[in-house]
Amino acid sequence: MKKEPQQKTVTGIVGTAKNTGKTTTLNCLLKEAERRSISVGITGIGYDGEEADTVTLLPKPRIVVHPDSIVATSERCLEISTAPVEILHRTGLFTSLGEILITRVLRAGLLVIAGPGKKEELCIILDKMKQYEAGRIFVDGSLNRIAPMSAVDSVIFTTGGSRSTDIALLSSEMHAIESLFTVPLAPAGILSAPECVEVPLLLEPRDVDDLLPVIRGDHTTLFITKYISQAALVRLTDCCTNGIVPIQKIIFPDPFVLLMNENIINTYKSILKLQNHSISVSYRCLPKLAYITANPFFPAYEGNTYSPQYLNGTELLMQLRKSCSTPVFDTQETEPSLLFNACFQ
Amino acid sequence: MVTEIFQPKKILCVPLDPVHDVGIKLINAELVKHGHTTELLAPDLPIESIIKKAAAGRYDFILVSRTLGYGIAELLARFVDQLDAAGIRERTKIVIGGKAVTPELAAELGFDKGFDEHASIEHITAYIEGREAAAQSASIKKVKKNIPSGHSYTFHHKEIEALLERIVDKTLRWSEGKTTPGIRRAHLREEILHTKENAKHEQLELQYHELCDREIVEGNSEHHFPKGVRIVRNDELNDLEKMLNSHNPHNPVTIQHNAGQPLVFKFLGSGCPVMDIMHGKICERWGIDGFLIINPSWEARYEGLLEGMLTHENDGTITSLENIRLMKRWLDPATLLTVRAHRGLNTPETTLLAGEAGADLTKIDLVYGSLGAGTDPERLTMDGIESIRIAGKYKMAFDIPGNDELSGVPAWKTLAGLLINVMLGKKLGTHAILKPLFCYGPHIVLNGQMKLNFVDYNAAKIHALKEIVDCPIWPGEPIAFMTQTEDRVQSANATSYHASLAASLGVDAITIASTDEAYSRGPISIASRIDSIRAVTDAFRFMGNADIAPTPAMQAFKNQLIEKITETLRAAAEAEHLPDAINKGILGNAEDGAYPGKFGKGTVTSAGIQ
Repeated sequence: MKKEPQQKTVTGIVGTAKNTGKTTTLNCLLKEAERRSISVGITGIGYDGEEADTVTLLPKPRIVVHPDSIVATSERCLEISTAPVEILHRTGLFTSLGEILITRVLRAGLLVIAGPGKKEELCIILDKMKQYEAGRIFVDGSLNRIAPMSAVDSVIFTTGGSRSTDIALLSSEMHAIESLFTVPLAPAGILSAPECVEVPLLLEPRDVDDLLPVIRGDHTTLFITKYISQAALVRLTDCCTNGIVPIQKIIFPDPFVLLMNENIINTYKSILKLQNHSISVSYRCLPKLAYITANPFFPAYEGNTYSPQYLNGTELLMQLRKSCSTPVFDTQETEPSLLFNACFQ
Repeated sequence: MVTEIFQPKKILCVPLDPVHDVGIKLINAELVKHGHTTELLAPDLPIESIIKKAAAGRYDFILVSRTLGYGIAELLARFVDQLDAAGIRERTKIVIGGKAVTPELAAELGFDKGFDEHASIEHITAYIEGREAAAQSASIKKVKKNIPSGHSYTFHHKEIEALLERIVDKTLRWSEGKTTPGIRRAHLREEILHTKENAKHEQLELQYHELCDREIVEGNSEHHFPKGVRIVRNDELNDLEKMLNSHNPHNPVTIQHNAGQPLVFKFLGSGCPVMDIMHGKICERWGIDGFLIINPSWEARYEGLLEGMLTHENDGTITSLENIRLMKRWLDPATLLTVRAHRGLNTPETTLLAGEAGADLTKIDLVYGSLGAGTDPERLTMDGIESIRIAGKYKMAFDIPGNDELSGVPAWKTLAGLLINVMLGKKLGTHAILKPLFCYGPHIVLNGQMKLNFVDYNAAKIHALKEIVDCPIWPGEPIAFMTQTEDRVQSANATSYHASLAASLGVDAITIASTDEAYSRGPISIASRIDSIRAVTDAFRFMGNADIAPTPAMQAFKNQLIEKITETLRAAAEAEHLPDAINKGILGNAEDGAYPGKFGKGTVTSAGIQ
């Protein structure tokens, strides 16, 4: 296996919903890495690789792993995986499916992955996998979860019919996501400047109101260190754009904090409003948005069971490409080498 | 020994469900009792308010209750993300509980732990207190039960004991110096199984086949099997192995609410051992204690047994050594396995194979096998005696099903027959288990013993037997026979009522049918199996340690049964031996609808004549 130079090596695969094609995309990348003889590391922030979806019970693609891959997964997942592995390290970190183990794949096969569900633990696992010389590391997403992804270098967003059957809405939402990734990194030194005021959490609109008396006239920069809810963002935007507070710069931890709110389009509108009022918005940490994949499949709920249904794939791809400047791929129709290269450009 | 210091935890209980917060209220109350500091939020608070509370409180655990529904998985995942982003997860474990929550789903949503609706409050408390492993292993570890243990086999009714001794002594004396092709085959089979030398093996196989019907010889030597029989394919076995290695029962449960309630058995006899195992594994998940392997009717009518792992596209699973071993291999070590041996011409050999394969019990009733199952009384008596000896050698108890009652034989004659088998077991050093029917049999229908209720007469049978002898009692076969219809709900109800009565009477075990057993018109469905198991589980929970009180009529029925059992045994004791009693109709006659069987007639010979 070739050793890749230590660089931006960790790619997360994030879904806007379940069944949007995270596993299919991951399998393409793993297959291409195998073809290029690149050693890979694989983990996930949820549970993936099972035969049937845990909610819809519809069949799912399985994760196919190749020899020498470094995989971090929970102990009980090994019982239902077909790929034999060698245990390299017991991490002492636990999921509901047992201890997370760092393993090396001995022969190709199917693997079920349940990795660290929290950001702090994902960082520990990624460091450990790098110690075992995983040249490229892929972090499989889970459902619509994104918080732990702030630990990765680049992300792939998967979307499709499973998120919404309204193609126009999907396109608008993807445009909003892409736009939130175009917000720049905060300039060096700004966080320690005397004009910067820090607040860890803004959850309810009244938290913003409670903050107002704290902000003095010379406080022109606000750094939200952990999380801001959608309702608090709306209130903060109003306060800033109406001149109630003298804030000129707002720094968020990363785009994921904004993306975890339910209505991404409204979040984006708030950011746009701030920018339109010349209030600068930036992040402390910013992974790259590598590309977007589109999957027309969606599980339709009829009576009391789910059945597979599909949007018009061509139309979906066309509309997403019209709305986004980031490359949009149909994983099934795209050369794996193209998908692989786009992760690490 | 290190004593751990109890560390009370600080816990936030969050009912995310808009209405249903009963479960988490109970958990909250229990945690308080254990000395933990808890805070129970009101249901359906906005997520932001919950996160604010969680962030301010520095909790050790946040327990979230939410029933899964459309879009709820996404809501929960977002909630976990928000807790993560807010930095709460660095110090707090997040736990989800609710219907349809699995460990896999908990992992997928990012929770540290998940509990479904079957999790006990004790389980959750144990997890909080860091003693999860011990609590879990205790809840799923089943221990194999020994049904005869705790019974002395002492006869309390001295006249009946004396009569049984007379009947059995005469019968054993009659059997001395005689043999049958079934007994000789069992001896040959035992030699075959323990002979390693090829030439000797072949010679023994030839001798064995000389005692077999043509169909069996052709099946074993040329694989020309009776219609519907074929060898189980390797891919079928591989698929089974793959499936069972990759799927463990999720949250297995027990049927009994307390240790005093009866063990619960079901039949396995789909024809296909692979299907039987799959059904068996699912039933084990629902708490079944054991199975009775039921063989095809035709198997009993041939002289000789087919060998190999065989499937049969009709009712009844072939009880070859390989098939029984396959079932033993995959069923839980605590699951009891009974192999039906007594119907037909291969009784001793089937008992031998059951013993060799590691079965726990076998099923032998010399009287029912002769009257209701078609085998010549002399032949079955000879074969049955040998089988009871073999069962003893392998330390298997044998259960005695009184299903001749279904032909129309009065209960007292059937019970008299069961008692003869018990005495035979006692004389031959093997433990017997009485299996009176809990049924609405033809004789009862015609004579009105159950006109007012189904309780008194069934209870009278159990009380009568308990007054006669201290022997395990296992009503069957299955309970509620002739009270079930093709309506699955009705069938499940009928089973559960009879199970309640059995629990109330303190019996050792019961056999239950599936809700489509009599009406499936083909293989029974797994859903129907679960129907009746669940019905009985609920019945046992409902009954707990309470009893069903019969009416005064029960006492009268019981006295009448004991009196008539004694009369029947007096008459049987006057006969030359058991087959003579059966042939004379003492234990059931043509008027009752019972006729001595014909299979194997004239095959009892002097042991010297080969």
